[in-house]
Amino acid sequence: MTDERELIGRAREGDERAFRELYDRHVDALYRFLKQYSDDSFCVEDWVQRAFIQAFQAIDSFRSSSKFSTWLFTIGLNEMRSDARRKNIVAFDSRELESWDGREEEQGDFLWVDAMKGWIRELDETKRSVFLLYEVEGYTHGEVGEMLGITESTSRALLCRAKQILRSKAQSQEKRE
Amino acid sequence: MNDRFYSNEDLPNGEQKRRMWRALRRGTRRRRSLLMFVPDLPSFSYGIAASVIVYFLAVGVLSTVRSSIAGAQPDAVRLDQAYQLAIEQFERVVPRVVASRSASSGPSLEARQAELAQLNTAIAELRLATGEGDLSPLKQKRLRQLYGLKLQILQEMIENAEVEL
Repeated sequence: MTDERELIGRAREGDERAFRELYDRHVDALYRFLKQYSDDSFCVEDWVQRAFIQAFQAIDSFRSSSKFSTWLFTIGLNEMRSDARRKNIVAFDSRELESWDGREEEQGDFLWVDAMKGWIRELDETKRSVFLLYEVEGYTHGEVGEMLGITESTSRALLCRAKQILRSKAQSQEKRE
Repeated sequence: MNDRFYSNEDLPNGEQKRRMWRALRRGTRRRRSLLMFVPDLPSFSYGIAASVIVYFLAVGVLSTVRSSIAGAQPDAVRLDQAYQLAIEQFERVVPRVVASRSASSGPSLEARQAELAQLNTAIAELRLATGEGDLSPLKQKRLRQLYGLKLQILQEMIENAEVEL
């Protein structure tokens, strides 16, 4: 498998095969991630292709110090956010983000249950993004902060809050059963 | 977590991937075609800027050299140019007037024209010599005398009404 830095170097020189290989490597991950913000597959396709177009057009400005996927996800998230705000299809809660003091610590282990996948869609956009990027995609809080334009501690706190919400939903369901 | 979270429904199928790739190619090709003749835009811009600077520099250097050469001309040459200019001014007027003279004044005009022709030949020979770098005072003096004589003849022709202005 070709080294990603080499691929990026070839893409910078305009090699279309390098673009194609970068696309093949990252399209599934970006698509399934953005799919968590909309059930409309055409809408998700639009975000994905716009993210790739922007990334390829600005490939010269990509800094090799970060991962290509981190950069691509950041662009994809921005595309989704601007579109979602315009169409009002994802809930945004900026007030909570502004008042966050970052002192909240994670409480105990988090037990994943399949029903949570549906509940994640009820979280506001930032908590959903933090949860997906950290817990599902495996990015660090530093990388999540970079992608979402928040600090590392805010990312930790938002993840904690997201887990609390999911946990309480799971407990409510258990009681009902 | 990754494998447990996502299902096959979350992934794009083959047709979706092809569709996105086609749209992606269209989107990037449009930009590339705009820059087809400029493979490296920054280098191209620097090249244009450098060419403009070199052009103005060359024009400036040439102008400076030309003006310094003109300023370095010896007095004899500048005097020669002044005489030439004065004679040219006279000659612009006189031939026109000569052409308007009546047939009765023919011999007198012919004599004047012969005189002027001889002077022109002498001046041309001397100018040729001085133009080759021979700026001896004697030749310069002789040239000025010839110029003076030619101017005098032209002046007399006008003042004595040998020609009509």
